[in-house]
Amino acid sequence: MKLANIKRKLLGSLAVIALSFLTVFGLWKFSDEPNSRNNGFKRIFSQDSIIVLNEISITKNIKEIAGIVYDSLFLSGSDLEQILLLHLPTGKLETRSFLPKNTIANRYSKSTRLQVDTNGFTVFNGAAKSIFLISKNYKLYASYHVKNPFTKGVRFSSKSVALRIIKREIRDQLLCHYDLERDTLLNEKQITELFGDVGLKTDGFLGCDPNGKCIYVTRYANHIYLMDSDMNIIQKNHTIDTFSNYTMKSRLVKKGKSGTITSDGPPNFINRAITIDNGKLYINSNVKADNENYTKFLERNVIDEYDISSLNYLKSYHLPTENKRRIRSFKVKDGVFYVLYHDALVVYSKDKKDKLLSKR
Amino acid sequence: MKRFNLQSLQWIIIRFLLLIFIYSAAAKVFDFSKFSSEISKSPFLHNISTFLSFAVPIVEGAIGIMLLVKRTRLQAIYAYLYVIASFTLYVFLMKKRAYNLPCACMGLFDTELGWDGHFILNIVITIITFIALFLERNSENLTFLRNRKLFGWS
Repeated sequence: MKLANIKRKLLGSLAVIALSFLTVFGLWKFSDEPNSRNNGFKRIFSQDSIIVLNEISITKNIKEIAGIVYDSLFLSGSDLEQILLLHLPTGKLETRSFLPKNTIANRYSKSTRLQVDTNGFTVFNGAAKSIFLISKNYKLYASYHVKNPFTKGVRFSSKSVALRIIKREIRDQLLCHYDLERDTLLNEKQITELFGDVGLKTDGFLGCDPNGKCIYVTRYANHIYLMDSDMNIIQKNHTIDTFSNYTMKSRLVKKGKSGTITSDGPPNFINRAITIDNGKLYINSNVKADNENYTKFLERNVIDEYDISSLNYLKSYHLPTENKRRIRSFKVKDGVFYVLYHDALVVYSKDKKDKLLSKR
Repeated sequence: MKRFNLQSLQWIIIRFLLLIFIYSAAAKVFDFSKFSSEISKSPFLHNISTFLSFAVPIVEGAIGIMLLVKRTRLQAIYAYLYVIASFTLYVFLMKKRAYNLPCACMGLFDTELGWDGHFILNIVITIITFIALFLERNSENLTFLRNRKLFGWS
């Protein structure tokens, strides 16, 4: 074959590839890419240097940090047959058998969530409309059947739980207090707006502090609601960004006679995770500030700190990470960030290296 | 022997490319609501997601049919190269921008691969398409294509 002939054939293929690149580049240029433009706000970054104290590889099915009690950190997965326990002073990770596979508490594993705190182990199973209390030696000692399915649950005292329940009548979700002593739902409150989309747009994160104050932070907008234990709003505020309108659109996808409400558009998260510690609310934001570089923003995770009683913004931290990993779940305790990524638990300190774990 | 190997290679490659697009188009048509819902979640494709949710399976199916017909096969491979190169670049951008979105590829290699796996797979398919193009452009020399009875398609 002559060289000219090969060149001609090669040029044809390269022209096709160039055309495809032009097509995708055009789509990208005119797309709604989040954070590609300025968002109209600036962050104040903490002067504390953030140091990685330890990184522990974990299996992919671990989805959440269930809690920290004294010097033990608990990690839970998509099913609660086993949990992981990290001994903080030594950095030793152990696997513990937790709930046998066929128990009621471990059914519908996708909707199961474990919370560990000084009140003990609490298993929330929203699809099964159930709450289970587990003793320190992993024995089930109490179970409660809630009349509605729920999507969020946080136990904030030995006898009280905050839930976000699904109300079929209004096709939306309400926050309420569940009294474990009386086994009843109390004070159903419409804290967030109602859209009749089963609470998809107003989806968010529920957290409570030991003093009985509860926080609800929306995932697709910048709303923060501070409530008392009866779910009365004490204060409303916004995260530091400018996204006061919900970035999520919902639509009904019909399948035969039934249907599923799903998102109709890119899931543009504004907030990705929250945690509460020592009167401070920490929010992992997904929105770039104008004083952040976009490439660097992708390479690290940003945590904004707020005062829980006033909901005022205090400052932000950058948590460095590799491979643009995004936070799945995180906790803060005594100035130390425990961050769960899809493949590792990383411990960061915002102060000095002598806090807890030493690098193995 | 060498000629036979090239003929067999072309036969296998065309069938492989055909299988991928026909399966992919069928998967999208059979679960159309899921596909259109997932494509609308992409920040790049959101604005034209309705158009694409119809166009992609139609184009994939049409290219698949064109691959079967000898007269249109060369054009089909060029179109295949255009589609697969576009998809490879799209996957690259999704990976680069770290959206953490589920892959809505709706095909043989659904979900398990993730964006990294799909990127590598797409590069492999692009290379295979190049080979198919090279073989097709030289197919006049490959006598087997004239033998319709042997392969059952022309």
